[in-house]
Amino acid sequence: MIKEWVCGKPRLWRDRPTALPFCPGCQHSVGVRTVLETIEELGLEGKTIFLGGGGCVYPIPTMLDLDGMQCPQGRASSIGSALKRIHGREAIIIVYQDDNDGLAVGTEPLIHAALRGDPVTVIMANNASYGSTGWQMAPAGNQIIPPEMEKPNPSIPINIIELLAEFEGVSYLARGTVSSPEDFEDTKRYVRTAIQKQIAGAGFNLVEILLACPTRWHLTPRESLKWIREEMAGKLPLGEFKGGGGI
Amino acid sequence: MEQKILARGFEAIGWGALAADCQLFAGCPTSPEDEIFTYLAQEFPKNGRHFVRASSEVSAINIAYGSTSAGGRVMVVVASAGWGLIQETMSHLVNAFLPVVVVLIQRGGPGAGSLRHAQMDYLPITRDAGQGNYRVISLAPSSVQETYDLMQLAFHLADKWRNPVIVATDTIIIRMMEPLTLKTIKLGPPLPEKDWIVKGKEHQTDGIRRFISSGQGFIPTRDFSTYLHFLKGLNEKVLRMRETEARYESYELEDAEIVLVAYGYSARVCQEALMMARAEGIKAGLMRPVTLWPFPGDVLKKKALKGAKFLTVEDGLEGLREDVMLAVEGQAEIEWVNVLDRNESGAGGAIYPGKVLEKMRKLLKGKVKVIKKGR
Repeated sequence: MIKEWVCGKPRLWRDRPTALPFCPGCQHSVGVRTVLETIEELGLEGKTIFLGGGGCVYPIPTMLDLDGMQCPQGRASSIGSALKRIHGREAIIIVYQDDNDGLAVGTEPLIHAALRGDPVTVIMANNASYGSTGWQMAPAGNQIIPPEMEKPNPSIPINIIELLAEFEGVSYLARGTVSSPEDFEDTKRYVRTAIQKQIAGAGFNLVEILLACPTRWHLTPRESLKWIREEMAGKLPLGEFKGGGGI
Repeated sequence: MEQKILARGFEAIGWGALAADCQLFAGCPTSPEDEIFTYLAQEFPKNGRHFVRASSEVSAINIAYGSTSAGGRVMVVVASAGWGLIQETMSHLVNAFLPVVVVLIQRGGPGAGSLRHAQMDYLPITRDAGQGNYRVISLAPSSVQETYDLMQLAFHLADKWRNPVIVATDTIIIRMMEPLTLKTIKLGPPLPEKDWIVKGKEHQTDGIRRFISSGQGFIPTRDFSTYLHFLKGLNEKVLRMRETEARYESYELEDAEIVLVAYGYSARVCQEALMMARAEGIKAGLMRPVTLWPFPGDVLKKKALKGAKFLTVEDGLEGLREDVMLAVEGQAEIEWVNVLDRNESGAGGAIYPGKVLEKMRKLLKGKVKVIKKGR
């Protein structure tokens, strides 16, 4: 019988003495994995600069074998824009933010980077939660977290993809999940297209990934995936929204 | 090659930045720095540099954060109204050891205050205006030529110390027109290559990843393993800057019995007042700090021990006076001229030399005959 090793960590995760700094069931490591595998496959690890935002994603740039930056909360898209201006096409800029970073304090830098059409790739990891501060709700996440949670803000979620779609400088927008192997492959394809758009200098692009935060949602990991598929994706539909169909 | 032109202060900011090979300008127009903004929007692209019209001062300083991480010299210009907005990232720049030049055009405050000249931001310029304990070198020009020269020095010091540097000027200096000699200044031995910038592993000379974090101390980095290790490193840098970077200019200080202390446009007013006082036989001198931080306090302490009296002149309520008080350590009498001594009550009023002279006479009462005006 031929045994094939089909699983493992991406090469670009650095070996660290400690475990990943994520809660059990958290999907941030899977979200980052879509990016790392894509960078490896496209042979871009020598050119990539990986920028992380604040909150739960803060430790991620420390754990990768890539040039990286930890940015002030919410400001990573401004910083990524500037890196791209100085380095030009020589560098691939990946901005990995979560919703408390990019869709709350960071909305202004994000929207204006998109308006300027700066060719950077933003990965918006949306789990509607503030995990690192002790699992509070996101300011506009009421309808996408389970109903039994406390909800002081009567808000609807920010559909960042639909919001940015009208902007001329935006070249590619897609939303995916990593809830199943098939979803993972779809999302990885979106990430790949986004990075290829950046290589072509085609303007700002963003891939939103809906991720589970079982600890905040008070659900089991399996229930969380069900919640994403059945409820969250109803409010935040999946698929390619702009610039799909290849480069 | 030297070229002599007639220029305004805000043009000198731009020329100085270009002479220092500044690669990128980021800003958001706020009165009264809007003229600089308009000027640089033309000059930077013409000279092959990046000009970014940011959506706010917050974005501007973060665009600067990114540019400097990529190795490009970068500057941000803010008015007092945008000064508070940039402080979060100023603190992050200090933590990450990143060089950025920030030009502050002081206007009246607090709040919306006025759109006209003032010197009201002395304390946040010289103390840590953002979160945490840190210090930032602050240069204060008082002429168009000095604005040009200090811009070049600012970029040099920022790279030398890997720390932000502030050029703190005011609305009168940037709007004043004076002769300007355009000459690139040689500033000490060449600085080492920036081997800490991020540009992609394959572009690094050793092929090893670089990592820039404004969370040093919070997470271990190449330079610092623990929080206290980081704070110790930062503190050592602050102490070395304090020891070596204080600069000032003095006028007739040797025999002075009364020492004027002023910076920026107020120092120009004091030069006039000084001449008037000397003509009356008052032995006055002027100490003009070129660096607001580190404050050149030693020279004041020496004068205080010799029995001199001090008069601080600033177009704000209080700021510079505090540093003079700290410098003389209670050894001398201090009087002040401040914004309340302006010639008129509107925002366009200013401190005039006559008022400074009047205060000097008051300070020396008993020694100099004071001519009282009738009502």
